[in-house]
Amino acid sequence: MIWHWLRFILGTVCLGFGLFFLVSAVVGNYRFKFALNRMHAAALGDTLGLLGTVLGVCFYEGLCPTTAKLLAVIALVWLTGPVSSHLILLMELTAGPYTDPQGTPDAQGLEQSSIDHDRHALARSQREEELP
Amino acid sequence: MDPLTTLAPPVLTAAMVILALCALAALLRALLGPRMSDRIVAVNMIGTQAICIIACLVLRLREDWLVDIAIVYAMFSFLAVAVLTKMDIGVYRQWRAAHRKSRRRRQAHGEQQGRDEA
Repeated sequence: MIWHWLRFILGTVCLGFGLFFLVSAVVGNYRFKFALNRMHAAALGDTLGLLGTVLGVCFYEGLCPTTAKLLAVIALVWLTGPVSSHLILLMELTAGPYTDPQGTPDAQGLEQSSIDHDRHALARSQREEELP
Repeated sequence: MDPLTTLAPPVLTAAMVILALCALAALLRALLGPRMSDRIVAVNMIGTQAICIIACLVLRLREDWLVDIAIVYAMFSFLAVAVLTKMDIGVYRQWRAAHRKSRRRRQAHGEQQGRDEA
């Protein structure tokens, strides 16, 4: 019985930990203004939020094949998360307003950002030459 | 009293309610997001929250096969992000090529006009 209480407490603590990070990911997504900043907040929920929640469920579940599958879910998301972040970053740098020499969809927002526009414009012009 | 059978289900239900509210907020962010990348980030976040909800449902409903759905959901979430980003880059390059072509035509036209005037 003490073992069950221990598992319950550990699982609840892990669940609360994960929920805190998932909620803070959403809050961060509303508070940040640019997609690259928002990716930072979203990655927090993707890694620690998922880890906490699924680990909490694992503690509730105990040792069984389902636990191994839940850990496989964590491994899968942790493997694919950086790749999707990289793809989003690539998209933002290729088609984003940060480096677009002609069209800046939200120019007034860009003036408030802390991004070094000259450096990005230089990188953009170098990339443009490589494009077909 | 066994806490895993009496206290755990309400905790899991509360966690699922919080996660559902978070997913709704992320959906609103996806609708509001001014740019495509904001939307894709929000959709990625909804995918993570859905995986967490499914993991809670595994224990709440005592249906172990739901874990397989969580794995498939993680794969499809990644696939959706990959396809959407690649599609957006492709659309941008097409737009860029068309823009360049029209600019070149305009430049050639302008040069001809200049020659005529001279």
